[in-house]
Amino acid sequence: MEPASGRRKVVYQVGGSDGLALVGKLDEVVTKSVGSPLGHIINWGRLYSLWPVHLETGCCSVELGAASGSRWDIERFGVLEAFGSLRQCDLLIVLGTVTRKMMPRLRVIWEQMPEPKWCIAIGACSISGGLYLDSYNVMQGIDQYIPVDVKVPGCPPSTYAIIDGIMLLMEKIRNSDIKGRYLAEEVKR
Amino acid sequence: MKLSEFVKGLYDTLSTGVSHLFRKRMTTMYPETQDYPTMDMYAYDPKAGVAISGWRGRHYLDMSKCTGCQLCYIACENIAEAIEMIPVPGAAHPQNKKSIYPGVDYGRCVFCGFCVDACPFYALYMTPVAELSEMDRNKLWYTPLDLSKPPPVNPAPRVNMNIDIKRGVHDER
Repeated sequence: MEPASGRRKVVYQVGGSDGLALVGKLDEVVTKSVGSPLGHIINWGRLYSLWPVHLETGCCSVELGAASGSRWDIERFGVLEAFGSLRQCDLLIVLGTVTRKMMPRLRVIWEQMPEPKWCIAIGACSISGGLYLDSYNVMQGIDQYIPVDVKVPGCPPSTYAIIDGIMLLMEKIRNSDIKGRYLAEEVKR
Repeated sequence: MKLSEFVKGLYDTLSTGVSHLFRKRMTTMYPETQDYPTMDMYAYDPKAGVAISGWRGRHYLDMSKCTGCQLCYIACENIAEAIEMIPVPGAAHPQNKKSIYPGVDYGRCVFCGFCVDACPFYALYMTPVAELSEMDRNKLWYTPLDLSKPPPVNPAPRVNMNIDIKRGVHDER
């Protein structure tokens, strides 16, 4: 739950409890010493070279195909449609209904991607289950299982709504530190 | 392969590539320009029984006309259950005795427009605004006060669409 003032409290958990405390401290020192002079440059490189993994299980994938076509060209923002290995990608786009049988596969895909990584949930099905509410085999929102950064509502959302979601994610990356953790409380749009 | 065929093939590829440099641009530069075909709101005329065409995006609620009859809630009940009737204590409108108004969960809404069709008091419309992406799931809940804000008149500079039989849809510049 959010606090009453509307400002989000950012809690960092760096390192483990026993033996990893020193490593965590070292990690923090390295992050601060690299992040303060080079953070803007690293974030600039990240936010204009998002490589997406598509998990296409529904009709929202057609809209992403239209968004990556020549009419609404999301490659203008550096979202390159690289259909290679997902170990080279840093953005997971979940398009469509995620069933109980698909959820372990989605989790495996998410764990295989290297850090830092982000996730966009597109469509009512992946945000909250959508039309399949109280279903026995459709997940009621994937954000209970993997961290979702941006939710794009619609059934399916328009191409420009998808582009708007990607631009919101780019704002989020711009306000993150070099480990990909979100720092700012509110993003002004 | 003859030499003449090779040269002709080279010329064809190069001329096709170069000719695309001088054509009109097909891409809509989205955040700067937008190409809504129409800016009309989707509405329903219950007296005539006719739906007025328009884009189906975020709802617009006219709080001075809503009577709290819950017909939109009943219409949404078996589709997505996105609408909840929310009491708004501060809103003092004489036609709404219980002072309850619809609020929409856009994480669930599928933008079918049946709630607009169900409203007999001309209180619900759908605006062309579809850019509703948020980072937080709870912010996708729109209260009646959020819904009663009027939509922007023209969110982005609009370009006219041109439909060409050969090239498809492109911007008119």
